Amino acid sequence: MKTLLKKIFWCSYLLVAVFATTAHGTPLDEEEAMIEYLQGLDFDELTEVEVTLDEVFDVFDGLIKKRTVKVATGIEQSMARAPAVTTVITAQDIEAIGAKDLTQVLETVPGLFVTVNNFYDPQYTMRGNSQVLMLLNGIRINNTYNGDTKELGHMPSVHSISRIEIIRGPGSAVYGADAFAGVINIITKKADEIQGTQVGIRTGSFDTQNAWILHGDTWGDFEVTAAFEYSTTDGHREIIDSDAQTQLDGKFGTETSLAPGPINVGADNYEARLDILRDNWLFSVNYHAVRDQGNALGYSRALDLFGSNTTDLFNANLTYHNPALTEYWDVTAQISYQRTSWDLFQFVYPPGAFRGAFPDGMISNPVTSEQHSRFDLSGFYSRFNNHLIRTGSGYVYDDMYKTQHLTNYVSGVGGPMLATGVGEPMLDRSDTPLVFLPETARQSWYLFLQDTWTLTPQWEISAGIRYDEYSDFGSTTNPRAAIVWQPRSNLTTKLLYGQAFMAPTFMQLFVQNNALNKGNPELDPEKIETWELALDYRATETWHLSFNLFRYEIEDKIIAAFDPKDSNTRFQNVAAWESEGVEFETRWKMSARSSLLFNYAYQDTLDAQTNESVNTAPRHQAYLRTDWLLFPNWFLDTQINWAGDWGRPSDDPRDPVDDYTTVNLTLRYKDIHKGSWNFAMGVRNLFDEDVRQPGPLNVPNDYPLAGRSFFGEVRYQF
Amino acid sequence: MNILSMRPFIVFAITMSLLIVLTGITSPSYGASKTPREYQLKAVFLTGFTKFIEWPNAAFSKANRRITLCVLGKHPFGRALNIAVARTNKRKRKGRRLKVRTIKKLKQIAACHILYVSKSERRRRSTVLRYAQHSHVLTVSDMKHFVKNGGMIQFYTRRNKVRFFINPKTVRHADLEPHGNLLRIADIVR
Repeated sequence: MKTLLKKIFWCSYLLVAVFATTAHGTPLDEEEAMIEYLQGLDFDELTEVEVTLDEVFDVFDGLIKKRTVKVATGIEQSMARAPAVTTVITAQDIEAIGAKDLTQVLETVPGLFVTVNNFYDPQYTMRGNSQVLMLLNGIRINNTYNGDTKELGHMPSVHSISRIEIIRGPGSAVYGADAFAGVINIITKKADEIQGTQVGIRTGSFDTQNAWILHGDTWGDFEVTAAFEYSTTDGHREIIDSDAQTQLDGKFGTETSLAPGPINVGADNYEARLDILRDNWLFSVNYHAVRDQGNALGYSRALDLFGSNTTDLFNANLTYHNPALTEYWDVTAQISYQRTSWDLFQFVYPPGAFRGAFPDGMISNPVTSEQHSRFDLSGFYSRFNNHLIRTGSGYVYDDMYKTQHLTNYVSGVGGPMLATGVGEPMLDRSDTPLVFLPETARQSWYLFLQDTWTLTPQWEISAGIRYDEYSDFGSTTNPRAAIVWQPRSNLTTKLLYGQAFMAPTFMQLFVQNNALNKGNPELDPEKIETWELALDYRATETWHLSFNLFRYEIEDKIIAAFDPKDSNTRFQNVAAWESEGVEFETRWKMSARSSLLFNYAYQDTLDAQTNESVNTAPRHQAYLRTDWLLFPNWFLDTQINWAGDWGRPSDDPRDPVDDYTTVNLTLRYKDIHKGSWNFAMGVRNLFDEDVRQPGPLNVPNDYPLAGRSFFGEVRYQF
Repeated sequence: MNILSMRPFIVFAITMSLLIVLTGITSPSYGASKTPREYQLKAVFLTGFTKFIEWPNAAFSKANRRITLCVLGKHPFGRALNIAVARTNKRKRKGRRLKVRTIKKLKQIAACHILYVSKSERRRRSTVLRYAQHSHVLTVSDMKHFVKNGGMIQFYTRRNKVRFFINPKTVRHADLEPHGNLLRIADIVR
């Protein structure tokens, strides 16, 4: 029946597409005619003319509108000319596709693929590499424990996002550490975009509920933005057929595994944000907490149905920006403080594990808490004709101020042994040499310089260099250069080169008392070198194309490897990767009430030593999005995602995971006149496709993702 | 087949029929509807103001004979403003012709006759207005409280209609003379 459904879907899809495409007028002549008509009216007649308010929900023009980015160099410039390969997602895009969280938004970007890890946390894999820098309003979120962005959870609630700017490619010359495979900057809505109060609720499959309120207004000289959101979900509870404990059960002849059983990926999210803007000063505070987040398969890859983890993120920032401090200086200064913590209560193996040695299960409760203090100063200098110089410097103090670890086991010769009796308190390893990671801190400072030189209106060269010095691993210098050639106003080509680095994480440097891998304080940063060639062509007013090629090489990649010196497995700079690929995107406003976006990306990322694929993401991915205005105020958005050719390591005997296609529909009623209701309903994974991402050998049937789900949403703007 | 396994099909069928029915009954022409966009209308207002404002001769020079309509900051009009200006010039037999300039620097305000201050400039609006005080320039914006802060004309929308506030005192202070017909339509702020 599924195939029949699919056939019906595709036929209707084509039919509507043809219909929508043929039923269009010529928008250019329309505008002249409209102006002529308006100019024929008297002034008092003009004040009675009803208009469509701009910028409200013109998703079709929005798609092909020239977009600007700030993430590439720090100054706002057109995407076509920015010296980086970028994607911009606007609030309108997010609303149109009916996205619930950041994952559903980012999977629309060519070359960005969202994978899951053992905890089912999203990993934003760009061009085969998930080492990505995440920024919230320009401020780094990645932790120093393992470089992850887990504390971000699914934050910020997509409803408060104004735009997301994404660089695929290196960004260390501007942002320093971890801007390795790419940079994702999430920019939240400001008062002038909210203009009053917006409230919304959403409910859907998997017992998901969500409520939010946004407020933005001017109070005297202050511009205030506030946002609150709460969401709760049980998660998709897909079935894991067999896990690591199943393998151990085979060895011990026991039956303790919770598999086959549902995976716990539920969570409760709380989020609050406040921005206060006055003249050149901006103060902002963000708080995000995740409670009762399921551990999925945890570190051990054994189903954990009883444990959970919590994360907290708090940051406060004060920014001073003066666009005209002196005639030639545009200066920004910022102090920021951020605190994050992750508290994991994990049933490493379920009750009865190790032939009944652990009647309550083998339990581990590690906690990491970090704080980061930063000061940054940067400025643009425009004294010289045709040159825009940017320079900046800053200081960072990263402090892993608390690590705690409680377990109910100790390592024994023949495997783990129960440390304390059943019902007794667990063994507290905190502040002892037995803890998994010592409390530690590091300082770093940086200096950068960048110049954009406009030789002629057609030619622009930009070059930048950044020096970073860290108290633990030393210094690193990362240059970048770009040549931008715009032979015609609608055609831009760019040749880009950049280097970036990934700072060794505290885990890689100092982890201890761990049988699998040991920290190594001698580590150097990982390095990447990237070349890109990009083409941007606005074929007509309503049809745009972009195409780019990339190649990168990573050296000194850190992996846990056997060290023959003392027969231990520890983190070492021994791996190397190389990758190449292409990305293509087209955006087309088919008619006054329909538009289409299609993108395709290919990447082939190899381990340079073995010449084998690293298999971190599918080789091919394609995405098609169409928006139609079906009826006045009724919008239909269709998204089709395809992933293909996701290989396995050569020592993995399993067949590769199947290619998959998922289809999402969102139908939205939106009165584009201000002050009214907005309803949406939608379905994701319409055909209930069995989507799986490759899992390790001890999870033989891989990681299943959500099947079909429905949602409904109501918003109101006061 | 039990009813539970039919459920996805029913939901799908409802969605599809909704899609097809809505598409079917929709007339192809409304997409190109006759409702103008906010900034098309504002562009027509901006060019129209030139008919209702009189500038002193000192505001013009040999090199600057035309009425210069400046847009400071992010240009929200698309092609509409250029079309409106081109059409106004085409129809003009007598009187001064218009031209549009997009400006970024405050110094350039001195050469403007109408200054449209984009919302992107809201953080420096007081500086902009201070600069504008020194010239014979009509200041116009969509920004909230623009007239209250010393601007001359402020657009606002009510029930999807574009209206504007005017402060005749600040207009006259710049040696500009507003036509009675303009004051009649506008909401006067004192």
